[in-house]
Amino acid sequence: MIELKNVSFTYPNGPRAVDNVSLSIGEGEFVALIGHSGAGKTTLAKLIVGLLKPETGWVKVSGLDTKTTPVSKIAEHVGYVFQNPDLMIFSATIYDEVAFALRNRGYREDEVKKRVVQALKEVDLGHKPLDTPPYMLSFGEKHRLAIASVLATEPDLLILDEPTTGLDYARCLKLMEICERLVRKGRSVLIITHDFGLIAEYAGRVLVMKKGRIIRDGATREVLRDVEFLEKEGFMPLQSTLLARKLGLRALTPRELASAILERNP
Amino acid sequence: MLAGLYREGDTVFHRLDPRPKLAWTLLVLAASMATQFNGLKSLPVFVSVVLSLALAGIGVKIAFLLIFNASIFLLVTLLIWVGMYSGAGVVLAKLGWLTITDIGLLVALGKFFLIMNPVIAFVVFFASTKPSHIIWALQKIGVPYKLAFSFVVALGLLPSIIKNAGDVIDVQKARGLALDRGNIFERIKRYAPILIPLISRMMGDVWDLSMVLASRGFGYAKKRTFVDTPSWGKLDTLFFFLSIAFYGGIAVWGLYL
Amino acid sequence: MGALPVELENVYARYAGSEDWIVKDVTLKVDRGEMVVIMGPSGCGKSTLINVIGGLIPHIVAGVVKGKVKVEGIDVLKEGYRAIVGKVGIVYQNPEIQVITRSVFEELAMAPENLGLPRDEIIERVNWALEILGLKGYERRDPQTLSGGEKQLVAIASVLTMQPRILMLDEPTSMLDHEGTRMVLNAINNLRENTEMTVIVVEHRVEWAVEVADRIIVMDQGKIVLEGSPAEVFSREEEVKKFGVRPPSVSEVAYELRARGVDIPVPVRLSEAYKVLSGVLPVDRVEER
Repeated sequence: MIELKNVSFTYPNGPRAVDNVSLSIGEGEFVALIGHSGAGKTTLAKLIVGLLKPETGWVKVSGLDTKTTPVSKIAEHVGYVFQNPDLMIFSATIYDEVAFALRNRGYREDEVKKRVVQALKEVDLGHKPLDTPPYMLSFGEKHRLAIASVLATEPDLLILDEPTTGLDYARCLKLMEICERLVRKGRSVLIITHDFGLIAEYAGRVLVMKKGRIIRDGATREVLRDVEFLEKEGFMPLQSTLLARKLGLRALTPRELASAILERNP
Repeated sequence: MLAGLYREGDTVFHRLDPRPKLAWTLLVLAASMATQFNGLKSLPVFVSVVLSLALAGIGVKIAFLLIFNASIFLLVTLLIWVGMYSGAGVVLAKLGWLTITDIGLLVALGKFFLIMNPVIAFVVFFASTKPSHIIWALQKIGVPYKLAFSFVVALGLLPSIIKNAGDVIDVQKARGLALDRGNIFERIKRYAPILIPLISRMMGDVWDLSMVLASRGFGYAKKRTFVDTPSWGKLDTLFFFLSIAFYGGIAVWGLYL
Repeated sequence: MGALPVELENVYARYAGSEDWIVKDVTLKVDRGEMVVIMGPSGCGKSTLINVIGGLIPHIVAGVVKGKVKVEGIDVLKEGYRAIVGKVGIVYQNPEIQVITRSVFEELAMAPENLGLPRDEIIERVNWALEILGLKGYERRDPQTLSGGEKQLVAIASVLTMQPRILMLDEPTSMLDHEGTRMVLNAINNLRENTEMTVIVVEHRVEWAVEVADRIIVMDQGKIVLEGSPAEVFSREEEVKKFGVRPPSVSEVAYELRARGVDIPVPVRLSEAYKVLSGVLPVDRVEER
């Protein structure tokens, strides 16, 4: 569905932000992209959305080459939620905000309405009157509104760029549940985050970026359990993983560890 | 952008006290105004500011970039002023409807330098003077500290505004916003999704910044201490009087001779 | 007996323009040298509480504060913000906004310059702050070129030069990557070890919080709803879950086991968890690392 082949990108007067990356993400995948600041994660995301064009290599989204396809066309397949999602809000009502991307695609108004209502319900804003002005919403609600406005387009791939900054734990979990529902419907999610707890619980695959390159691509349990690798690269492994190791067990999340303990000692 | 323009360096211009440097930019402005009707007389001013650009270590590359970007402006000015003065002076050439006279050419050049010289001088000033020294100098010449500080900080926010604008444009494009469609009114309307979030972001930034400043005791003491202060030395005196003599001379030449 | 660093009694606060109280009936005493970590969902009033203690509301930012707010023995509401300037340092979450000047030295000197301190003393304080945060050698660097974590260290150092008696940090790591987070959290640990400063932090990194906090406070909808030592707070599983606080993952292991009928105490730190759980597991299965 998403395919990158030998993609490189350099900002003017900058270092090479993405360096020879090849990658494919299929249907129904929940992928986490991790890496320190400046590793090139956001650049990679922007290359996938078509906001940046690869210098070498190519990016294909649902078969469309981003180099020759306008961003608005790519946007029909990829939804991009930005670090501060509430900053995309500009409309006078929550209805218009969610409808924005749909109208850009030229949907008929009855279809727009159906999708808006559905998307608002999806993020627990279904109880709000559709003419609520966004500035009346709390911070968390605005955040959810922004996510709804991307969900409404039913993207094949949803990219979340550090969506948990400023979100509390309960809301992070809610967001992950929404993603999980998408994945179950055969759509894919790419999440950029530093939160290993969420990744361990929800993502099936982890990509690790460093200096523009993907230095690791594997199953979540395999990557996040590799404590030596994580520590060498300056990441903080989960404490439940560390505890499992100390106890001589193999487990990633607290739930897994509890099961492993009970298995050993019924 | 201007305060964001500062470049660390150790050139003659970096070592100068901001006050004679500020005086110098104002003198450049005055001399360029005095010679705006005769490009030949303001040419030495132009040469002096380009030289200063190089001396301030800003790089000849940027100087050429500035001049290159100004070349369209130069062409337009030339056409306008040459056209306006086509009835005066000796006719040098006729290009279709355009009659070029010597006076027309000199005025056009003078007008061009009137804009270019001070712009280059201000670039030199902001690129070679630490923002904190600008604040100090403004305060020394009587501008209230809070105002001087706000001025420099506001200038410093510009690069972050430009960056934010880029981010917001990216995000709205990813939501299918196409800026290049429709007639001019439709296009202007299309900027709402960019301007509104950008303004709300800016207001947020200013709010955050004011909290940061308040928590650092901004405006607390009647007499603020300046640890790192420029000091007026022999070089400054020399530069100051040389500037007065040079630009003053050119101004007099431009106005009376 | 000196005054307590922070003494709040039945404090209510809201910003001008908002109708509801954002902080509701908060009573809180913080001891000298204590480290308090405040947690809670976004919008629960944590940041507002920090701004009340720092005297920013209502003196700098328009708003209404009711109740008793005493900081270092000074009645902040009565005597105004100027009375506590320099006694409290606040560090915010966004490192980009908190570096203002073009050299680390200038940045650190800014606060004491604003206070109008003598030049020599400012230089001495800047050097002290550089030293204690491990920023020696950064003096002439342009803060704009530093990493997020380094910028945040500079932001902390920039309020330390006021030599505040209370340091408050409002989600100082929420915008940082793992390296930056580690840098900032280590710096706070370092300050705790080497100074007498009272520290109040709003922070979500619970695994760090339980290691260093003397007390954890959980806020929800403007109120303090849970309070106690890390062990006390996280042993109350139901409330922790109800208020959406993220428990340390080692506590979660205990929650899971308890849910499946294994009656064990809830550990909060890795080392405790190891002790508790190696007791549950047969000894020969446990491998020392």
